Amino acid sequence: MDMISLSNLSVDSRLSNISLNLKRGEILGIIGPNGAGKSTLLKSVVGVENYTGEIKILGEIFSSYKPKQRARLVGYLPQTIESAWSLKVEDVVALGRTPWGDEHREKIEAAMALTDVARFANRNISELSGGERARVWLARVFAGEPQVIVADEPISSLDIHYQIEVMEMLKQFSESGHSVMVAIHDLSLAARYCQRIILLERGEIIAVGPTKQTLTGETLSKLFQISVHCDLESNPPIILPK
Amino acid sequence: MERLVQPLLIIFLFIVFWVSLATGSTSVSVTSGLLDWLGNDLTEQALIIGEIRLPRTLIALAVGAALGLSGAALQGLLRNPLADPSLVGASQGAALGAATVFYFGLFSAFGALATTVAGLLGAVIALFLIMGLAGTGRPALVIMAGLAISTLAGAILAMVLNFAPNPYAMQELVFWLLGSVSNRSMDNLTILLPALLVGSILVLTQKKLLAGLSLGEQIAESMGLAVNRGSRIIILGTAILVGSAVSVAGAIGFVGLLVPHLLRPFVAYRPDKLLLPSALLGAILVCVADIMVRGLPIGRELKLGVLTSLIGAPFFVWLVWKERKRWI
Repeated sequence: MDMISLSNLSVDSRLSNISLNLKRGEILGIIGPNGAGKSTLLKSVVGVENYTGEIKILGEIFSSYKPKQRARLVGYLPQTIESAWSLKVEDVVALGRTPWGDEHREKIEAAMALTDVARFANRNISELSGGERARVWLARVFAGEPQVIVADEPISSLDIHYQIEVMEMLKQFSESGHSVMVAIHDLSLAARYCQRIILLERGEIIAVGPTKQTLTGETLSKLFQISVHCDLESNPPIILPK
Repeated sequence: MERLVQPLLIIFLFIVFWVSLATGSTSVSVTSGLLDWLGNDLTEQALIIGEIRLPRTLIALAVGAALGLSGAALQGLLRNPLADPSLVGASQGAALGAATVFYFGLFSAFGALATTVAGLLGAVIALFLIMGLAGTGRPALVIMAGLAISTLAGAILAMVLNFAPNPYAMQELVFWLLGSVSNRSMDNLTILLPALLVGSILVLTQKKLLAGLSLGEQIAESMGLAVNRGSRIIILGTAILVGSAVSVAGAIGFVGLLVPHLLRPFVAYRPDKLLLPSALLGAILVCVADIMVRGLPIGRELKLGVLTSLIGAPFFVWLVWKERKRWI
């Protein structure tokens, strides 16, 4: 059974007739130029954007879930997060338990250990570097024990060390029987970590399929209007603008 | 420290309550005055404590609690430490409602409670206008609507003052607007307490939403929190709290703005943990200010709202100064 399936999903003029599925254990990459509708697509899946069409989570229609039930299944990691207050790291991670209505200490601590943020659990979030914060945001999502993580450009503002670290954590998550839907700009990392790719342009899917078939010089050149060097056979795969 | 905040504030509240009962132009024993009053023994000290100081103290505590709680709730809802209870528009609505009593002599059947009843009615009308104008629970839009209705009510209030039938009516209205809890009776409390209870319950049911909103509306919504509905409940709760407080005591400035600021570091900046302590500290501050007002020489009455503003404004200046260092 698909973790998530979308049929004929449309969001006013930003997305039209999107149909796709997310399988258990995979990382599905969403790639497209700015304004293609990647964030809108991901927001629809987590219930913060109104849409027409159909979304199913674990075979059940989206609207049949209560918001908290849905939030227990799908965790959302948005593009930018600003904490209004200088909260302690462990309090931010504890917010991940909101859909469950508890502050389960063991699960919060497990999420902090998994993302290696336990050592600064008592520090204020405002004192951390961008990379450390990225791990805290991910810990918050892990603390909610979702089946699926929907991540919107989670590595766009990170240095390469933290980019790899975050992607490795998402990989481990998917390998443990969960799934990830991620919008990503770094094509080489997309090729390295995603099993399947969806190419999005002006709110429409122009290609979908296994990474090696989708991320080709031809499709990417067409999508980004720029010549692209594509070597998916090297380890790690390399995709660069010419 | 976080665990100690609430118990410490409760202890301090009881001390302030006792000091307030003991403070006044006549020296009386609080214990025997209270016991006499509770036992329906109408001695002089029972009348002073039970009929004059107790209502005044309880009203000061209730008004302060309402303002402190609504300040903390609104700052959490708007994710803005500068949000003030007057933003929800209920404050000006209540002031305008009360002004109609001084101007038109409405609600005379309610006697001394006329201003309170009219103020509460004004707050309720303002609230309905705000909700109708906003048409959504999105916090930013509700607050914009609140500001718009507040400005409108303020303009009408200025017109009422402009056309006051006589200088005495105008003076009475201006004095009332300056804020005070003196010469209030237990009847005022019978209106204030249910409003305080309902408003507080509405706000406190939304603790999780306030916590979730720390990371933004979209994350809160993605975590299954009902942002629109919850925001409406918070606005309704704070409007009831502020409206009833203003209708009983007039405008008491700066309490709702400053109290959450003072407490935030002691509750690890958590908006959900800030609510009850803010109510307690608001109650303490307004009661202490009222004790100070009573300490002034007789005949030169300083209004409570003026004193809280005189204390609060320099503190606000300090906050801006502190904030300035981060930017320059």
